[in-house]
Amino acid sequence: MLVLALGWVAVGLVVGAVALAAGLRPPMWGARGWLGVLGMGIGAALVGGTLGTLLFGRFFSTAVALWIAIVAVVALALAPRLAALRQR
Amino acid sequence: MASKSESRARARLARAGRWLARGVLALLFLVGAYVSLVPQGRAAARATLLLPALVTQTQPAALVASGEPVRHTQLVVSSRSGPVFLDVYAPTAGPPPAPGVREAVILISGVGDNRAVPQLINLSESLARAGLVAVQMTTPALLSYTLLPADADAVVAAVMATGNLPGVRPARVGILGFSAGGALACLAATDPRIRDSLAFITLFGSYYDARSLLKDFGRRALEENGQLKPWHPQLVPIQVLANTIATTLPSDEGKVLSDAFAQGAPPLMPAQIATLSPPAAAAYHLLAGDQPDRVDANIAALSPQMQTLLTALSPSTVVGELQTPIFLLHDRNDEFVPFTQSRAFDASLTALGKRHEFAEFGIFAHVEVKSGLGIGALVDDGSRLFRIIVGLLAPAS
Repeated sequence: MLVLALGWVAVGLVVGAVALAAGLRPPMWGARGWLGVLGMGIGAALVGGTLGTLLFGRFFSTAVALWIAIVAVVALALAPRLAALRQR
Repeated sequence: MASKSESRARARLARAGRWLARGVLALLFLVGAYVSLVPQGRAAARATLLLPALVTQTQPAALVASGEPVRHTQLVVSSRSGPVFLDVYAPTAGPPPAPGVREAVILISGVGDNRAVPQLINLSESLARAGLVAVQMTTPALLSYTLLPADADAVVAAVMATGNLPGVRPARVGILGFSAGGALACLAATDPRIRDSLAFITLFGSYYDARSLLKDFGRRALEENGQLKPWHPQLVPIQVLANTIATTLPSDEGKVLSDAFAQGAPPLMPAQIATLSPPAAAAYHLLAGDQPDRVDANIAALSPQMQTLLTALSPSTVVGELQTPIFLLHDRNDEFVPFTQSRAFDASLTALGKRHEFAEFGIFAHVEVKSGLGIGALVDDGSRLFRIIVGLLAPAS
């Protein structure tokens, strides 16, 4: 299980890094925002992996970790923009 | 001026990089969702990790890390033909909520005791790690290199026992029959007790018609596209046919026939053959391949009991009754069972409009992967094997 969890952490890190490269960094997070995006990716991947294990079994947990981490970092970046759009 | 255009170019590059990264994220999202949420995706993901396990005969690190912990237990169930020995490789945990049930595959590894063969253990463990229940089955007859029609009941008993294992449902049980095990799988698949619920049968390196198989042995040639081509079988299938046919003979004569094809035994002398009954002598000549021009006459000289046995052991007898999806796999250079047997099976299934898939390979030695294969052969046959494995894993997903 530890190896599996480490795999999810790696998946979260990769997703966070790609999200940063995609410019999906909330502007209000300041200079250390990149760390927040990476942390968000890792956290969401761990949650996704655990959820995936419970719902689909160990075998598919990493795949679930992957798409949940992506949903999380994209939602994180888009939420302020959507809120601003709604305010306008 | 130059620095302005340079910074513009850099900005364009950065924008392109951002869109590329967004594209990568979208692709990863689609892959992750497809592999975990869509049944076909789940089957493809399992096949992706199982294929290297099959080809390399070791479990890849990714399969060990992400797979389920496996428990091995042994069971004995009874059938009309006697005890059935089951080696169950199953995930230790229960089935996950999606899909809420596990697929089970019964592996009939042919004749002899293969339960400790590393390749078979590797296959069973790999299947279990991927979330399936793998059940190796054998019988006393198979262990003693003999094929009996009554063992079809043993396969039925194994299927029913497997359907009652925790987390497994009868409609998710399929059979993977290797070599002679494939014929038993076919015979069992027509049994009314399991006919309507069996998920699939897969025959790997199996025969279709015992009589035409015996003809191929007798001629030491196989018929491909209407032409005879030399074919020299290994000793094991000859021994199996000798032991099987010997069950129709008086015990002393049966022993002579069986012993004639034991490892290292010399061919029978003409005087010894003369002591055999005409059907036993005909069977001997067919198996020894020493009268290739008299194959039809020798087939005709077999006793009514032998003819009945050959009919009862032939999937060709029951092909019309098969209702389950069928996967046929055969290596073109098989030295145990001619690949033309699977071609004939494929032709019959096609003519009958039965759901099936047939794939010929070049990477196997009978049912085991050859060593030292080139990348071209692996890619070519690997893609065919992948498609078949995805089909086999569909009930699990």
